Amino acid sequence: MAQTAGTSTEKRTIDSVCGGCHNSCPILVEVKDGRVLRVSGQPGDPRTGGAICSKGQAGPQIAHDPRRLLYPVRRVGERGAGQWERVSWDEAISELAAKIKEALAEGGPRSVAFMRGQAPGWGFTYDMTQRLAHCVGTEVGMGASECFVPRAIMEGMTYGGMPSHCDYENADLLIFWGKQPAFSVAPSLRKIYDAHDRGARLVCVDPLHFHLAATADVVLQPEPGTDLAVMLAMIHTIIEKGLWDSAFVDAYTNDPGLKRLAVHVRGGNAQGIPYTPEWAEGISGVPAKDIEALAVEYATTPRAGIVSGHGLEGRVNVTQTTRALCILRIITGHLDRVGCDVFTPKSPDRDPRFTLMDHVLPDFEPAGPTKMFHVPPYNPPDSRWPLLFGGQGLMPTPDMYRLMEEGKLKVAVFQGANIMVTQPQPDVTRAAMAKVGYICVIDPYLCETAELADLVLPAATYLERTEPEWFKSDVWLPILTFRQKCVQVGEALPDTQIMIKLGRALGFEEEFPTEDIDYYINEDLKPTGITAEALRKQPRGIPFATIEYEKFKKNGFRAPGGKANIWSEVLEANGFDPLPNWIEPSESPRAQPELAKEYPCVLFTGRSGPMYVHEQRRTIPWLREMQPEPYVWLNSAWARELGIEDGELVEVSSPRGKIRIKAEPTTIIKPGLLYVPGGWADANYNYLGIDKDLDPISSQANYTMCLGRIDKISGKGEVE
Amino acid sequence: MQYGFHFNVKRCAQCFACEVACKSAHGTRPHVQEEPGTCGPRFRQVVELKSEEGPTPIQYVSMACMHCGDAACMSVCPARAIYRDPEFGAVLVDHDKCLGCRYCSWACEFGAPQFGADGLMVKCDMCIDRLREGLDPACVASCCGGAIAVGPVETRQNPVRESAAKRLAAADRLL
Repeated sequence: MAQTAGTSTEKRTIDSVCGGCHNSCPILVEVKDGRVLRVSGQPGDPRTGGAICSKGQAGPQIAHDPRRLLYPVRRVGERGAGQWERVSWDEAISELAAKIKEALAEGGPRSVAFMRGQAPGWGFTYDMTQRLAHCVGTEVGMGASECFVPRAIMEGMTYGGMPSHCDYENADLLIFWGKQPAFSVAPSLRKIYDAHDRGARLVCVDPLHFHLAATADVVLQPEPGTDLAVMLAMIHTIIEKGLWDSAFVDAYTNDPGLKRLAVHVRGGNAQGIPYTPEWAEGISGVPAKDIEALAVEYATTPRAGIVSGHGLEGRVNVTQTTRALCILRIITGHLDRVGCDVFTPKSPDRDPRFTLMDHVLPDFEPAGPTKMFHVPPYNPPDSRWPLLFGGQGLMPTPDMYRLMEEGKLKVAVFQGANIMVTQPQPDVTRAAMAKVGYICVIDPYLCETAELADLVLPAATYLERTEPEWFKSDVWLPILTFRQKCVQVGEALPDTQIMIKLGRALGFEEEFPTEDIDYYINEDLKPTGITAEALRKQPRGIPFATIEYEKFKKNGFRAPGGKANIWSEVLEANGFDPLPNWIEPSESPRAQPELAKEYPCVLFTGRSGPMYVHEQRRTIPWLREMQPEPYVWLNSAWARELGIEDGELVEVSSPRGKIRIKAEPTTIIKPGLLYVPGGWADANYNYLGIDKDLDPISSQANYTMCLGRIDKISGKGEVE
Repeated sequence: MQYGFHFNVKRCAQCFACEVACKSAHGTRPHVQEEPGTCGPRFRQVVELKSEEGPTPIQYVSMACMHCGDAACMSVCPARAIYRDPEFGAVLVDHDKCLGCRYCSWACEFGAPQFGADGLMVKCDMCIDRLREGLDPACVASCCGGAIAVGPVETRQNPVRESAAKRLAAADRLL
């Protein structure tokens, strides 16, 4: 049996796993009198070096935030009127189960949707959501944006998956491309600086010169959305200068001699022009000599890695940008070698039957144990982006929106997905949600999306849950860890427990035979032979694989033909470009010159700083103190020209909307660019962002950059 | 013995782990009951230095009390409330004696003394309780980049010199 949260007055220290973001760092949790006193890193941990980030350390305030929802509530007034009544868990679950049964009878299984966001995590908890959805007879839908998945599927098609980590200990060159470790994996900073201290060179490619870039040796600042042009020009340079790793390319890729790639970048491409550094400078604003220098340095440094991040996402060219990045790694032989980007199993093998795929696909025969996400070998009838579904087993967000808008959904259950804040064009989301018959939101807060629901169930935070975890970040070592319930807060329940209760209420007692979470953990982890009990005895982790280099020598790559696919056979078979062509963002000064006359700035968004995760943590005083308000960054010299002062309330607008926000002139951004951090419910970039023009491969909209303008509210000093 | 903080500007990416570690270790405001956006004392703070000239538009410096060898705050305190810990040399404040007159904050060159709702001076205490238990201060233990260190000022290692030596060795110029 799972151990119950102690209410003893003795202080205890529990080994657990953070869930402050999805990286799952090992932590120590001090608990007394049923309260979390302190969260700190696990000394000596090989992934974190014993450190833990600001979000992790704010654990006590996250668990005991008085603004949390502490019991289930049911809507009493009109939808969105903010009138609620408290109900018991039994009432809440019976009501939801009854609504689902009604929907099943009237509209069939696909009139019920389970939409998932990041907050509950992507490992075992996601398997549990799938298990319930498949019992009902439908697929899990992506509720929030597919920020990371388009990159994951492209790397999967190209050479079998995303590298698990960059070999910081042995690298001589580290390129951080659209990635700020201070935001997303601060505990890995020590390894990065250790490498720098011993002489490794640090390069940052980011429109914003901040955080890690403060100490980088080289900083390139491309215009947002143009990373693909820079990468294509690097490929061009490497080929023109003959710097590629010909032995590796000939033996392990599907383009020996780079015959097809060379023709492509020299002009045999969609634009019919050579992708030279000069050409890329004209698009990205990065000096040609800097592009060439980085290409040469990367190609001629045997131990070099590229760590990429969210900065490449939310772009209509995200998939081909990722392909170009993969090709850079391939042609220089920087894969799975010492000091390079390494492949190690990122998740333990799980039982492919655990998610009960056979309930939606009766003749389902698993090909092998589940790795990473569960990937059913079929395309569900409502999914229009088969490559995306095949890569993650989630219905794409635009398909879920379409089903909502067409009134096809009678019941929707949102789990850890605050789409009213995270999705572009919140009014579109509001209108789509209005078409859903019955909405249940599972969340620790009565968040903006929950306000539009009929039933809201209080979700436990990571300090109140028991589940296996594995580290997910750029130091993704193969160690299975154990998150342990430390406290009980109000009546909040773990998402997994809610799935079990709902499953049983729906009559799936065979599939959900007990409320004991250990049963499900043991079933899911069966292929590893690791049990909940074993994890409880070794909560600091049980390794499930070892790190080996150059596995391609023995096994090739897990991609078509067993080769690293410079020429993507999967994309070709699906009617897409097998080699990356330059693709303009949906809106850019070049793509829409007429529109750019009215909206002359490139307006972009990104992660909201080291203290926040997506739209979460704005209520945590220790974290909010460091960044109390949203702001728009603009170049300080340019701001003086415009007469815009620090702290001045300004209007930022795009062709789709406008927001009022405080201006913060800064030196870290180039003139002509405007940066609004994501995740703020007020002054939300998503009122400006693009929700249409989807990437045909991944369904991703160009939602993190567009054209925009900044105006003084007085109306004077407009930017023309 | 006199202990002091050492800060390596090349290892700070402004992740703010030190600030929250400090708040957590001392239970400092803003407390969870307070409105988000409320500010409390910041014993340690990562300060941004922005420049419009030169190659680096931004640098970060994590600052707390310097625990000065000749501490101006101690000299000016009319109540003799500020004293030096004999074991670690940390500059500490005795709240039974503090008047809340704020002379110390006028004298301090680094903005270390701050004031709580009761008007009394509060500031970084070098995590003296942790030091006595043989632990590093919370900010040092949690610093993600390994930028903050603590140790005796007389004998502590020189990490900057050490890393320079490592780079020389890596460059094969010596070996």
